Amino acid sequence: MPSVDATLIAEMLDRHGAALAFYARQWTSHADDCVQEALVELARQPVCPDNPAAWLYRVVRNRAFNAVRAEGRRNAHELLAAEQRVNRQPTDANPAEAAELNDSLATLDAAAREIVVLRVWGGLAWQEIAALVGESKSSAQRTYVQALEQLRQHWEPRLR
Amino acid sequence: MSEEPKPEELRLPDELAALEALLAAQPLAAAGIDRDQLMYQAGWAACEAQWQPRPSAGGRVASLEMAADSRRYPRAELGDVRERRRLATWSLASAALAASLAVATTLGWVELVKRLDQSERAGGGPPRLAVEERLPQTLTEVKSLTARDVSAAEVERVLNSNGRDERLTLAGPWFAMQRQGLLGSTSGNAVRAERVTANGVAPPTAKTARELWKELNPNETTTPTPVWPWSRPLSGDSI
Repeated sequence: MPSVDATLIAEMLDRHGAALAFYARQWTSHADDCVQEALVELARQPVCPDNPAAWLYRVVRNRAFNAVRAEGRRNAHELLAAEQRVNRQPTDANPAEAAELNDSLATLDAAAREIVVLRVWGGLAWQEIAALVGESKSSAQRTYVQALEQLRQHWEPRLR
Repeated sequence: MSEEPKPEELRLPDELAALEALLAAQPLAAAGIDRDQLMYQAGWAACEAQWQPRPSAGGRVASLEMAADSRRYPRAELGDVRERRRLATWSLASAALAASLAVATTLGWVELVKRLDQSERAGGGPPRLAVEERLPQTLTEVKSLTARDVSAAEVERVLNSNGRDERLTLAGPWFAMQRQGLLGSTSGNAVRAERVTANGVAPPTAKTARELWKELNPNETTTPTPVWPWSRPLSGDSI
């Protein structure tokens, strides 16, 4: 097994940083913190995981759930400061398109949205997605197809 | 990863495949992560993990284990915690025992020397305990002597006349030095005078270098002139 080095960290940040943050943003407003902690945790590993991307998505998911629990205990001042910091972050995406994408994904239920993000932007294999969401591979595929059918209605004009 | 074809790939209808491609083409908001800060923290984390103890294969916790790459760096297996504690306990106990023995020996030696010095400063008499132990018990002459009144000459005379009951004690070296006159200043002039009268032989006295030269060279009329080191010329004395 190769060891984790700076090159791998930089590559994971470049290729999966935005998708990881988008993935964590489903649950928490501290998505960037979750991603950063996951990357630091990856650097702490003595042996590189088999699939660093899948490993990162799992760690980010756990961190996001922990952040959700922590946000409930956080006072209003800290929460407001964190949200302001998130809103100030630079982005290359068109705000209108990003908002449209978020709105369309918001129509999905949480499990379907997670599978769509993992498949479309994360690029994980079905086996890895099934292991992450805790379902079977066929069940995850079925949920994915249903979610795409639901999103198709929203994106129909662009497909023509 | 998404770039590689996977055997379990889901076959989607064309409409859904097009939608999937459209969604994948949507640009995502960049993560608001400071790259430099992240790489700095990652470097620190990797360094800490490299030197942090972690459970080894045997379930034991090694105090120093290089976790970054065990194949490139040797691991320091220090054994069981109990074993190390036992070794540390025995080491500390041994060190404490050795220190105690050293202190006790030093104090005992200092006390012995101090006792001998006190007895000598008191007037040249032998140590009280040593004299009481060395004196023959059967001699009425010795028994009549008190420890304070006894002198070296009296003790020596008694011991020379009754050597069969003599026992070696700590005062043995002291008596030997008394016989050879090496304790002249501490034994006192009265003792030396008593020894001369008792044995008929005068103790050796110190001689100067000039007296020794005359004694060794009786035919020489001239005495050598000493050349003091500070009066010698410096030439030719280099190493």
